[in-house]
Amino acid sequence: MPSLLDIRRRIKSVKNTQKITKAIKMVAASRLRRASEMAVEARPYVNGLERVHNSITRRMSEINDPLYQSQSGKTLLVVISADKGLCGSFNANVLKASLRFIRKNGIENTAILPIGKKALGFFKRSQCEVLPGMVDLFRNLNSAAAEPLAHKLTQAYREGKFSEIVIIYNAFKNILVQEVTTSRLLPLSAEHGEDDSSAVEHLTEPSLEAIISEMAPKLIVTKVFQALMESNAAEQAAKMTAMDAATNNASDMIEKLTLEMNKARQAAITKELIEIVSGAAAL
Amino acid sequence: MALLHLEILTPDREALSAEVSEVNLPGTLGRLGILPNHTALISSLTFGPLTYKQSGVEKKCLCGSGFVEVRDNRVSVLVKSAESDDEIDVDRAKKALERARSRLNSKGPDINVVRAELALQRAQSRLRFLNQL
Repeated sequence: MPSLLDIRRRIKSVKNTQKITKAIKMVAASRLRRASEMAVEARPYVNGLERVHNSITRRMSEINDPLYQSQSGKTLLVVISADKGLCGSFNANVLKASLRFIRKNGIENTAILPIGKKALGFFKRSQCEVLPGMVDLFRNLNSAAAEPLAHKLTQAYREGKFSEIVIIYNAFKNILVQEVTTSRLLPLSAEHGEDDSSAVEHLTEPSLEAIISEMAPKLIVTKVFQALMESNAAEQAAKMTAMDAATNNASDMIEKLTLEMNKARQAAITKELIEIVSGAAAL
Repeated sequence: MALLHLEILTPDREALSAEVSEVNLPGTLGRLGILPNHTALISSLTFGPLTYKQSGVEKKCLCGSGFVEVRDNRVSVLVKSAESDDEIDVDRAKKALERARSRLNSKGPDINVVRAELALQRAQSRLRFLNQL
């Protein structure tokens, strides 16, 4: 049986850990609120852009912009992870899903672009072709932060380096559920619906082609921005739940240790009493 | 008279949502004036001032590049950024102007001339917008 002093020390250390997990949980909760507010604010713009994009592509029988053409080459997989740990299975899930994707696609047909320190460290040791990744995107996330990444991807696709660009990230379903999502970023697909009654023949200025080739890169930026926002919100939610569980576990542990400590103290008192009584009886 | 519903949307926020009687936009091929009952229109926009008349008062706002969709008396402006006059940082614009000028004058090999010129234009129109140039 551990001594009284040992148990006291352990209780103290568990209490300290609990303080830390509680603090991380609080921080994650406030960051989650900010992240979801941001997603809500961005939604009207995204919807508007997609609406205009669809109404234009619907009227074009074919689009000559290279961003809509399929081409040959490797698949570029953009893996969005977090920069930090302590968020449950958040990073492991997205990394595992990307490994599955690589296995299915063939390791020689896939290149990786890691986003976030966790993915960067993970793929450094792998045998795939790894492009220089990006870290520290999430602390000051806004639409301007997504632009360099989106431009890099658009540029790489225009140069004909890849057959497609796929992005894999944790999507935010609700606070308890994050879902690993794989979506194709490039080539862009045109909507060819005929039946839509809401379709209006807009006057366009300049030509449809000119608008499309100007709009396509912006669409990529918003898609990348959205994936980053989703991943950020999911990370904070995962962190919050993980740290909440850790705090509860620490409470349970403290309770158990306190019980053990009381038992040990009582045993010590009883032992002392017996010693005194038997000492008195010996006289 | 019918009114137009003007909304200015940027990726970071909804900058404006208001009933207006008249909108004037910086289209890529020249300025576009939109009055109520305008036909459906999609156009690309360049960086420049956007003016609108709200209950008789003319107001303006500086927009980044983007697009506009006009349809059923709804004007949706989708732009990279939108700043009203009290939001523009004069010092920052002045510094950006200096920086772009010195970059263009230095003529170093690693200078992206196109980018520097665009930055120069942006800074100039920011300041012109505020009558500070």
